[in-house]
Amino acid sequence: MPGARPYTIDGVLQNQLSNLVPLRRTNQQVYQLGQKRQFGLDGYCPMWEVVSFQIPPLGTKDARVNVQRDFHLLGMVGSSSTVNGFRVQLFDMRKRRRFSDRAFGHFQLLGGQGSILFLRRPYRFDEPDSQILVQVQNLDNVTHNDQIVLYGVVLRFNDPKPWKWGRPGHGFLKRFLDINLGWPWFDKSKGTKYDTMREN
Amino acid sequence: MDPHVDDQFERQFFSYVLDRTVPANQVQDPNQLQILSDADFEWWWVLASRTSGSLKVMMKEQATGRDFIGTTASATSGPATFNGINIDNWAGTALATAAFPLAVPYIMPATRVYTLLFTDTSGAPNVVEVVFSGFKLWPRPKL
Repeated sequence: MPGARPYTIDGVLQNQLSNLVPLRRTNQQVYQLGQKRQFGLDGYCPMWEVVSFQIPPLGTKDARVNVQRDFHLLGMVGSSSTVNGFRVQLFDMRKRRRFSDRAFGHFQLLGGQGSILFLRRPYRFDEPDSQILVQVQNLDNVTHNDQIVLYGVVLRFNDPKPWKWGRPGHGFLKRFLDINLGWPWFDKSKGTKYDTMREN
Repeated sequence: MDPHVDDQFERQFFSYVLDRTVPANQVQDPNQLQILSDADFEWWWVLASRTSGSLKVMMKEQATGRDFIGTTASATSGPATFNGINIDNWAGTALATAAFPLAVPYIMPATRVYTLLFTDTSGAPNVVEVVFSGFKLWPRPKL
């Protein structure tokens, strides 16, 4: 995004995670409200994947979340029954990726109650049978009741536009035809799914 | 207007409101909300106010049977019965962050019925108001 980081100096190492942080008003500038299309996800359905834990004192637990088709993670929020909260770490099991170097406090990763942490860009679980592994650790000497919420959007089973570019099982053929036949509505200058949605 | 942006709908700001006093310790108390028949509704924000935050909520779409709030995590990780999401994790509250933005809007078709199931764990009647905010979609007459 041009001008997003006007003070960046060439040749100076920069933490890539800083790109996840908007410059101002953290929770309000992540997504451009009012735009009809968000990352080509129009027609997707909101989904809150909820993981509830009852963790014994200083105990650890984990859970696997089987996400629906083409789940795009947009934000995360968590809550705990105690002040200290819990540590949490998330994994994308299908792609064998972890979301953080190590587990850390849920307030940092998930945002507190009522203040969801939005990802700067959606994280897509596009592989079939994708799973999220959630590991939590109680930091207190008392039993916790904790909840982690993964907010995102999923492809609807009654998808009104199943032929659309980017949909699982259909996007590849359409992209192949577009590129090779050069259909007039295909703009080769555009790149990924997130900026080429120009149907209708 | 740019045809790639314009979808031939006039948007009118509108809110659907659901008021309910959830009885103490009620489990999955069903409440229905129907979209008016005059226009589809583009859902953008959700807000809630409640007496106590010890309240869980689930949301279902009747025509399709879709659960908006679900869990597939192992039941051993928490209570055996899933009663939904803590309401403060789901909706923005008037005291905290105001509206929760969906970021990707969802079209609620006209006349469709949505069910909200409340579970109270506060032990006292919980006065809840849930607001679905967004836009009515009025088709623009073609010139």
